[in-house]
Amino acid sequence: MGRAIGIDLGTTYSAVAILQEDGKPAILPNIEGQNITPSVVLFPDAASGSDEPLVGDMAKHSVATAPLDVVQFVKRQMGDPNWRFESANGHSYTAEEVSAVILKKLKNDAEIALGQPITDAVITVPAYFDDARRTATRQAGQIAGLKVLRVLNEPTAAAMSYGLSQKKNGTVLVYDLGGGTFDVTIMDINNGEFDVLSTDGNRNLGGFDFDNRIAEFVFEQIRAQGIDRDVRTDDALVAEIREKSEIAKKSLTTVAQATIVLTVDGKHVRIRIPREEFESRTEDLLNTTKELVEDAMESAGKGWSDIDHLLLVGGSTRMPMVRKMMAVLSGKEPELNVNPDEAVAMGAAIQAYISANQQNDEGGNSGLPALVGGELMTINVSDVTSQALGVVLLNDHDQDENFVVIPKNAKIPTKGDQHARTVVDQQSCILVRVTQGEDSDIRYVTEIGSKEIPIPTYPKGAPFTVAYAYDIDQTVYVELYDETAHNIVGKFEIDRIMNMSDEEVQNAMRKIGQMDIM
Amino acid sequence: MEEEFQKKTYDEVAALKDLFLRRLMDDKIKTAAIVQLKENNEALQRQLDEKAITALVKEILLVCDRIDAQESVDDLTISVKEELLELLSRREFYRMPHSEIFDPTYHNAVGTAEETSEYPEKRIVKVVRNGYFFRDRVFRSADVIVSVRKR
Repeated sequence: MGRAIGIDLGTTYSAVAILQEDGKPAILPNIEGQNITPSVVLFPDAASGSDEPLVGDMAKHSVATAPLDVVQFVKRQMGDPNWRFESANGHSYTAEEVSAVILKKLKNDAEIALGQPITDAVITVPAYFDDARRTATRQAGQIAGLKVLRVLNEPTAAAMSYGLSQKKNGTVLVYDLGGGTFDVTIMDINNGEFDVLSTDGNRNLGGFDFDNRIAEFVFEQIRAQGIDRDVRTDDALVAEIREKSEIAKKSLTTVAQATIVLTVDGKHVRIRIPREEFESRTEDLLNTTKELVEDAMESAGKGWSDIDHLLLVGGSTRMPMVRKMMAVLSGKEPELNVNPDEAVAMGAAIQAYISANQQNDEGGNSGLPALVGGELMTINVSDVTSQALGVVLLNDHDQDENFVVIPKNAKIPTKGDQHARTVVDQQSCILVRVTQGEDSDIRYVTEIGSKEIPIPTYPKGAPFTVAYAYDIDQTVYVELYDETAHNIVGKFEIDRIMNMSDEEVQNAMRKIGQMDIM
Repeated sequence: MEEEFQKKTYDEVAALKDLFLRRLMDDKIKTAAIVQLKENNEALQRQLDEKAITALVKEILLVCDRIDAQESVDDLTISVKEELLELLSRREFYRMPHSEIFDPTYHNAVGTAEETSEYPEKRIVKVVRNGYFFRDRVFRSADVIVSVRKR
């Protein structure tokens, strides 16, 4: 049996887990002894002119000294074919290559922790990642020298860590509030098959925002206690306040009041923070997540009575107000028996074990049962579109309007069509403009391609159908169907080249493979 | 008749002996499993204790930081800080010695200053916050201001 790991490749931090012999997943600590590794890479300016990148804490510690040599939040650049990082030594890196450097460090450290080589891995991605970003993630794994068994949705991984499998069919809602991002996903589990029904979120809302609200309160109190200067410009003091705010937030999960003590300009300041004060100051943040949950429920077409499992993931869901809000909203008690910081990596480890054993078993291409934690499970996951695809047509008021043909969150592969009519007598062609985005106002959508298709001449109002087909190969297939003659008058493809070619991946494997990574 | 009885007795003894041996084996396996469980349990307990103590120590260090940050401190405060550091060192938490050269393994750069003849590139100009070791590894890196090349 091959040893395969699960990797939670996060925007700010990453984690690695493996399924142990007793059938339980466990986090593999990095070489520094930490359970999580900052997803930060430093390419030091080297006299040799060759890059020897540093990953993790050491890179994070160097952000201030060498801001131009450090890459942070590279996950946000995945699938952007134009993004490059230029190192001081004159080398250029794609987002896939930078991610590969992180993955290689995670792989190396996991090998040291396990004492044996690792070749296979499952890597998690947000449910909203489209196929281009999924392919980019898979390629990053390949470049790092890993055989990527699967690119798995983070909420699916979380659900797996909760042991949701064949025995627990039904609908699951995953509420994931991390340090810097919020995601909500609703999935159907049917005989081990995970179907994403809807996914939504806010990329700029997380635990840090809650800390900041406490810090704001502290700044106000410092002023109220008679210190007149603007302490926000005092870097060391601000760092101290932020750290103590985070500790206060954590302690407010168990106690009703926290106190922060500071010494400012020789004056000793005591600031009491009652839980009610904290909760009232962060109510809007919580409400934002609540609205997104409600939106996701609506787009999944589900009511609360349909939800069988409510899972809270991400460290920030430890706040009692999050649990209370979700319990009141849903009328259900959230499930809490997995460490919310580790759930995604743990679930990825379970999937890695299953996939590795499926591969070893010849002919078992999909749905082969494996024994995990004493339960038989077969798991299949399907992807959804992250962006709506539409077509620009004249509306009833003779204005250009974007009509959605394939909605956001549609299961891939998918098809959709939209009726159109000619607008003038003897019209000789139709301009099909393909858009990305769900707004009806064409100013808020992106045109990704268009083609003028000649048509037979008819009186004004002749019916046509524009049909789209969207497949996992990232291509939109467009057809224009003549409803009068009952035939296809034209078709074209929109190829969105968002990923590296096989040859580019091979070259990157050599480039990153030769590199010493610490 | 007697022969039959003897055979029956013999068979029963043989069956009992077999059962006894299997039970002995079983006992052995169970004892080994209990020992294993006990060891796992102890290892887990150690991890838990360590987790509980490290969270507490992180917060105690913030108290020491507040004292360190003052320009002038009375004797009582100094003695309190020394007492805190002493009780931490008994639990294998040690303050990092000062070093001249910036090393991201131990130091976290929180700011930069232009290089001078006294502080050439990548020297520690000032320690903003002390770093600590737990046993042989970095527990908290030191926050430092680092000299950088003129741009």
